[in-house]
Amino acid sequence: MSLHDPNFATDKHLQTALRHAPDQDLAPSQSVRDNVLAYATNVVKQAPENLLKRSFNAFVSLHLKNWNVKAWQVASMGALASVLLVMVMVREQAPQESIWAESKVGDLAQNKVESPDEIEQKNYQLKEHQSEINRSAEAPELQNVPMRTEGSMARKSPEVRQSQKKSENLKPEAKSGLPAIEVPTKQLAETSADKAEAVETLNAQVAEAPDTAVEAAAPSVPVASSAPVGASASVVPTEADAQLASSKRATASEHSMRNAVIDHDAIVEKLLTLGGDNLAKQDIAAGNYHVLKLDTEACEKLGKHESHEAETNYKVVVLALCGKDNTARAALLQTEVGSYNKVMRNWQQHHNE
Amino acid sequence: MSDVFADEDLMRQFCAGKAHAFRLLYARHEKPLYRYLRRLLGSAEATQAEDVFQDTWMKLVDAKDSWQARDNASFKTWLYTLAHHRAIDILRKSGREVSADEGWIEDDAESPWQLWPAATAQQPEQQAFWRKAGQQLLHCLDALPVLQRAAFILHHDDGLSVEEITLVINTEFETVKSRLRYALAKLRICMGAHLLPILEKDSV
Repeated sequence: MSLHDPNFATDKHLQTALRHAPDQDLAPSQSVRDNVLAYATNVVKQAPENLLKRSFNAFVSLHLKNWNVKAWQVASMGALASVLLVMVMVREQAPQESIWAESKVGDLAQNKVESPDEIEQKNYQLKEHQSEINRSAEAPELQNVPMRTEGSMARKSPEVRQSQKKSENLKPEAKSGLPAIEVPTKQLAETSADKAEAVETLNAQVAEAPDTAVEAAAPSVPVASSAPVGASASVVPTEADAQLASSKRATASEHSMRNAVIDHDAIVEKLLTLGGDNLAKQDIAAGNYHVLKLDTEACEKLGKHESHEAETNYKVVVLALCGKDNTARAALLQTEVGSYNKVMRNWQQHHNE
Repeated sequence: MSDVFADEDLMRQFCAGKAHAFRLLYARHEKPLYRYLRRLLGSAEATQAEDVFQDTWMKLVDAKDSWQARDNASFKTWLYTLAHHRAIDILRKSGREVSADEGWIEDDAESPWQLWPAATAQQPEQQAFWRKAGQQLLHCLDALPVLQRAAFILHHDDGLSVEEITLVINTEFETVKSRLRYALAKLRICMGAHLLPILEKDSV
């Protein structure tokens, strides 16, 4: 008996006894048999679906079973995956607003968000610019200009307003669904510029015509406003600014009409203190063009514009004196009113020529 | 017809998606494998034999792709390897000793073989003797260490060579050979002690 003999150490008697053992014909139960065969059948039916998986497993078992992954390899793959993810996110990022697709690159660059320091600096420059305008004008009408623009636009530099205007023009529907309105801003800017130019022109005329200047010893108080006016605000009308003053007449008339009712008593007092000539010149400088009329009976028409004068087409401001003044005061007022109206008419006549 | 194809051919057909090939394989190895598990587990764990048997076949089905990856692998060796390791796990969990018990015994223990009927020429009147011998052999197998028992059954009942047994038990060739020697010696002593009185009584 050789060691390589398949029957090595085979005991025929023990083998015969083993084959006559009582468990020789035992078999598993029918349920076990059914379970095994059904399981194998199901696996065979599902095999086509798992063909790719089986191929992958076979590839892994044959080629990659001895591949020991190192830590640096895992780190490298992770870093590469992260970079790819970031690149895809940057490349595929959708615009958050549809307006992006319609706007241009240059417009987007102008709509950049400014830092608080930049805004503060531009506000300071704007205030300096407005102060310069006010100093050159020194007129109560121009002092009202910053009040009109003291909203959001007044705090922003021209660059900011331009950027905001372009932004509004770019996406009017995206903001509120209402059409964008840019007229007020434009009108405000034009009004400020024109008025500043008018005042500068008037000041230049004063310097050129010193013989017609009126000395103002006492502090001047304009008819239309309680704001002080400088002593050098004497005005002599010339032809150079006639056309400009004519274009602003309507606006000045409205301003004086709005304040006439309020300052009725002040007009009377200034007529008595300053005199009709000086007050008329101040009103002309301020752009308040009207004539005065004394009425001792029409008490209910205090300070109201009754009508337009036919000669000058200026509005007539009625100064009612019923029950208030004595005859002497009325006579003095009548004299000053005459002087006031004379200066106004001369101005108007000179302007028409 | 199932004998026309070798086990490996049927297994390849099964891996190709033919379920009937698996039925032939199962029918061919159902009783031998179940018997091996019953005898290896012994009378104490005989109730676990069906579970181990079912688990073995299901595991074989699941791992058929890995069998395909092996070139020239014997199906029978692979099947018994799966079953053997599953049974060893059961025995370990039950607390039975599965390590090799290489206790020395006399190799040429005295056995009255000359009194026994010829193993190759069985006559009807001798069937009763061999049935008693078979029943006694099962008792003697229970007394063997697990790995000696496995080596003896695989070699005498299932016809595996020593080389194939080394694959199933996953041990060295010399180890299998020694375990077979120990198992034979112990079984001869055990069988002689029980059958000799019967033979002497019959001879009288």
